[in-house]
Amino acid sequence: MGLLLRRIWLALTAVMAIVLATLSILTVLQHDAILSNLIRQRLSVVVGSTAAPFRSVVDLGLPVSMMRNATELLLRARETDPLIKAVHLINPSGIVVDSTLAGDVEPMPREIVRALVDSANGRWTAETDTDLISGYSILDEGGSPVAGVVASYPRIELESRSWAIRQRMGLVSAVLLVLFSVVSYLALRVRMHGPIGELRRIEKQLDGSDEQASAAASFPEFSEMLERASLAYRSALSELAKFGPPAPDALPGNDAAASVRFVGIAETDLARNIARRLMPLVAAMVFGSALALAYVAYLGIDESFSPEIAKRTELIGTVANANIQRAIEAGVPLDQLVGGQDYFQDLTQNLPEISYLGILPGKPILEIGKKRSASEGVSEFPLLLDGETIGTIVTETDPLYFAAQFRDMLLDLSVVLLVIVLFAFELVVVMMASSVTLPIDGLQHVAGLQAASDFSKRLAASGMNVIGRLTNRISERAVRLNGMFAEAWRSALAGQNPEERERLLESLGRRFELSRSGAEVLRFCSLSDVRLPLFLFAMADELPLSFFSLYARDADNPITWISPGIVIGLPLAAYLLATLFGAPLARPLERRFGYRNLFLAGAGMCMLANVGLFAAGNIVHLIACLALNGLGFVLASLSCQDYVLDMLPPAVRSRSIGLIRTAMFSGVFAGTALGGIIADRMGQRAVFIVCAVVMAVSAALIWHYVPQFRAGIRQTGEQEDTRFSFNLLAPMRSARFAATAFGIIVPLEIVNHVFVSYLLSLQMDALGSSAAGIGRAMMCFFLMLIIGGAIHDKVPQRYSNPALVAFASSVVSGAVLLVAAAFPSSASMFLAAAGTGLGLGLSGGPQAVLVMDLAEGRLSHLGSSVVLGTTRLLERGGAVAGLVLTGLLTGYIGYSGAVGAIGCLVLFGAVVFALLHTVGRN
Amino acid sequence: MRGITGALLALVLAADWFASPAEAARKTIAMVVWIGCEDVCRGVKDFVADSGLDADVTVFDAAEDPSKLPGIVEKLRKTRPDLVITWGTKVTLGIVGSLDERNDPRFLSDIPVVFTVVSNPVGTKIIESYEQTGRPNVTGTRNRVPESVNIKSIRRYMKDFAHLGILYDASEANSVAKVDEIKALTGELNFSLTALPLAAKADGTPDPASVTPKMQELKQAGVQFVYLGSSTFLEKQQDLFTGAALEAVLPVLSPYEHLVTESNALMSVAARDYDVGRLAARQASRILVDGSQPGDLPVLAMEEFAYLVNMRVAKQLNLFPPVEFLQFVEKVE
Repeated sequence: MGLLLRRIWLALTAVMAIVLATLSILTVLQHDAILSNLIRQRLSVVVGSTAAPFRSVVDLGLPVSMMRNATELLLRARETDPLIKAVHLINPSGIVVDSTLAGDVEPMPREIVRALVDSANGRWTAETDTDLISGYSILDEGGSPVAGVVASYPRIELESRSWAIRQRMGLVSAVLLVLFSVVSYLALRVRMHGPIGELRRIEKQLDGSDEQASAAASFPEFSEMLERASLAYRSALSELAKFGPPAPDALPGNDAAASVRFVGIAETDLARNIARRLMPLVAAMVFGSALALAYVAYLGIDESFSPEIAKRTELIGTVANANIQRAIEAGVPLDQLVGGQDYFQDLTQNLPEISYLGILPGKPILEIGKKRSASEGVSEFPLLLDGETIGTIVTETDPLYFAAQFRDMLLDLSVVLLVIVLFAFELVVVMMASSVTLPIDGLQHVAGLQAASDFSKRLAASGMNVIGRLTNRISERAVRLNGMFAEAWRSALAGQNPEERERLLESLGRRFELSRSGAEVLRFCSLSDVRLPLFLFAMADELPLSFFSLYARDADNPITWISPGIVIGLPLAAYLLATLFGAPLARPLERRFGYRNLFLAGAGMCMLANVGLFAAGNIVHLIACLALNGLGFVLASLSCQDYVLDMLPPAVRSRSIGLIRTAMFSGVFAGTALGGIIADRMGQRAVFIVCAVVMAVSAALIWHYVPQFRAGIRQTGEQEDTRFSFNLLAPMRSARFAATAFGIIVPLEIVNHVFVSYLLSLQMDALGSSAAGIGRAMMCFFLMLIIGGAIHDKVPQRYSNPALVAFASSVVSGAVLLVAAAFPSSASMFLAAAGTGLGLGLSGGPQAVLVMDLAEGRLSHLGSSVVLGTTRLLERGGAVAGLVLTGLLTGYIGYSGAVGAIGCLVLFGAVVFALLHTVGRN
Repeated sequence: MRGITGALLALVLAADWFASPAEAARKTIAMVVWIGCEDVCRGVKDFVADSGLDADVTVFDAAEDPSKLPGIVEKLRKTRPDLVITWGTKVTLGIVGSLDERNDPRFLSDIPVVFTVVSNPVGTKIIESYEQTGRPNVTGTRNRVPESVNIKSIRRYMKDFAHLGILYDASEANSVAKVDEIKALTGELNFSLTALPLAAKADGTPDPASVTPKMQELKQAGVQFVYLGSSTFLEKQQDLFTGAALEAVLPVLSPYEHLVTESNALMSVAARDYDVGRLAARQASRILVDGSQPGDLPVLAMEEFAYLVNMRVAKQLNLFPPVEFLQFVEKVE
């Protein structure tokens, strides 16, 4: 087996292993979350039914604690399911007023009390280390909770089913890995047979052992380039031979003394050719194995879902039956059930899964809902009097309700799958880059230099596969020629007529770019160095997003002199302020410490902050930790962005920034989606440790992939100015800069941070959307943002005028916001989320290009640090100001008005940008 | 020898010095009742026995004769019990008098008194409020739910309820006060009230013979539910009262459980009499054991009530409780 093939195969297998392991873990967590929720919903049938009499007593004006037969009612509830551990009646402070347990019972934990108090519709559920809990808050006439019924269920059932699914997922993952790995190997052999053979022939051609190889080469340009490189090499060799004997062959080593040149590299034809052959196969293997495992996970979840639904409907029928039976046994004739209709009505209202409830046979004595003719979902429960059946309670489940529940479950699973797809995509990009494209790009780059008679650069010694060997061959030539050149200089200085020899050598040196100090070692910088780390870093940063407000609310609050509502928002405010003040520091710090060190420092701060959040005791700790997290995040993320901006060729800058933003928002999407699942299964505090670990992995990747050097060494080789001033207003003197900043960047930042992070959920909540609906709108935003970035990436460079794309993106964003404001509905808000996501995705790259063009063009006298610093300050300052202003505005014009105001601002900004940009150009 | 004797004497003296006051004196509780020692009285006695309170309970029975109460006051003055428990409004007024009579020498003002089974101690001016009795030697217990609870319970049982009837004893201050209390709720809870006084005999006491015709009068007035209100007379004449209601096909709501369990009232929202007695004894122990001043103690409220429905009566009236009601009521066959 070829070494190159083996390397690609091993990398692909490793990627599949990581993807399958991650998907297994996530689907097990998702399965547990769904099953736990289903069991708690079943338990809530019992709790709701038990709470009904207590609710009646409260409605009548008595405290529940005054019910003499409270214990009997609780015991009756416990008897409905022998697995129920205990049923308690608690007061709003969590003190157990009555219980099925004997003796004194410990007060309820804080989260239970919080759930009881916060429940808007009465029902709530929770989970502790030992129990699944369902509760029902009993509210007084004013809607304040006065008591609660709480039932606890041991986790044994959940854990045993979870263990079974873990085993199944583990086994299936292993089988799929082996299967797909074998298939991958075979497919790679077939797919790569041609290219590897070609490269081997080229290698022989280089060795001079197969002079006819070029004729059969399927990489004609590369082959021809090598031919020219060989000619130049032979020419240089013969010229240098005149000054002395040829030097022996030498392998290019990683000579520490050799100077290193960092060069950004764009994708070459050869790499593109091979990547095109490989990418469909790699994608098919990775996504195919993930999809196969997801299908197995779906089957597992379905197996847990269906029996739970059956149990729940059975339980509802049992509860209804028991209550009607109680009336009959009390002597109430079946045809004189007083309030039966109301009771059934109440039951079906509280339990939407039941579409029909009736007492038969014959002409229904009581019925609610419309009876279907189908027998599916129908359950019957006999009513007995003195041992004889006198009637039957018939329940029918609502297929639409369960279909909706199943659809929600599938959507949740789809989100996990989507996260895995995004993660896998980033992994595949890194794998392809490190195994295939980067080595080939490097090879072609150096070959291209040599073909142009430039032997000043070489590559560090590479692996022993065909690409590595070719690279070494090419580099050997540069080493050898430079060595001979240095030797010729030494002998020239020592020999006769040194001036003439020096003149000839200088000429030779210029012709073949030879140096007495030897060839420089090239170190390539590429987008893939930072993509995966940034994805992971953004994901870790967003993991706590879904629950952080609740975490802050539950923390002790020593700042009692400020309104609790404001105090809860302080950690986020601290985070935003830290990013605001940290952003302008990124450039000078990069210059001083380098991109890699700055990222590592930022990641270190974030890890420390997350450990602090894990251990935080009160809201002050949270504020401090989030400020540190904000500072660390902005420094680390900007170091990656600047690395790409500085190191990649200007021609691919827009596309690269678009891809960086895509990777980052893919991480944000993944973090938002996964944080809730992890918190649900492992607890909120544990999420912070997960964050710290993921950030550590991200830092390790940066350490491995990004070379350490200070900012200011540019792609073109020239030194960037080292000036940095805090005169951040200076760039504003340029009309084009002001137009870009205030017309495009700031309005779109307001869309991102104010509309999406603040108004979207509030407005959708006000319009009656569920929490899941709001979550989906958010995800749609991120998804469209990712798609927008990808679309921009695919548009050919010549059609992608940055100013035009930025203008069009703003118009799209502003227009959808105006539509959402004019026709407020959940659908229009969804459209606004999608439209703004697309707009932001499309405009990410062009925004960076517009600013960098100015920084390197007409504002170059200020230095890019100042220009970028000002831009970042305006971005974040605009977001903070927008947040404050919108908060004030909503009090006067409502959420719809605020959405419309942002839409107007974005459109106005686009028009101003178009005008000033045109004026500036002229 | 003299030394040993001296030492023993010193030990005896020291033991006497360190002995607690409780060990030194056994307490005496006097309970003044109206119709003999029934469930409330038994509850008091059992609590004293169960709680280890070192006290004797002596019962003074007025035997439904108000003229005996001054004599009982005299006896109490002579025997000087540590605490007196009074049963019912009439007895309590006879022993401690009203707020206006708190300094009247005919009533006890220097011995702690705990009243119980008083339906409306504020309305009958025995105390100023439930939180502050306004009398240094008097506190008590409450054993009834607010009247609004009773009215809402009737409405929960009978959805179209709109008219309540009450028969009351005009000679009993608490009975009259209760009618006033119910009348005050008519607007807020949207029902009308027909309250008829029972005819009085020559001695001023109510005439049992008037119960049946008055009940018929309520029926003719369109009353849907009858409420016992507060009347020791009707409580004693429970079979006559509930029987007349049954004859008139009128359901009765009683604030006393025993009218449901032992007679023909349809429903009660009440505490057990026995538990009421235990509650009174608990309040007494706070004074005797903890050393609290009666006037400093708020009136102690009963903590457990139950909805009782007599299913036999429901069947006779063809007025079955709603299914939802049956989830929490206690049924009596």
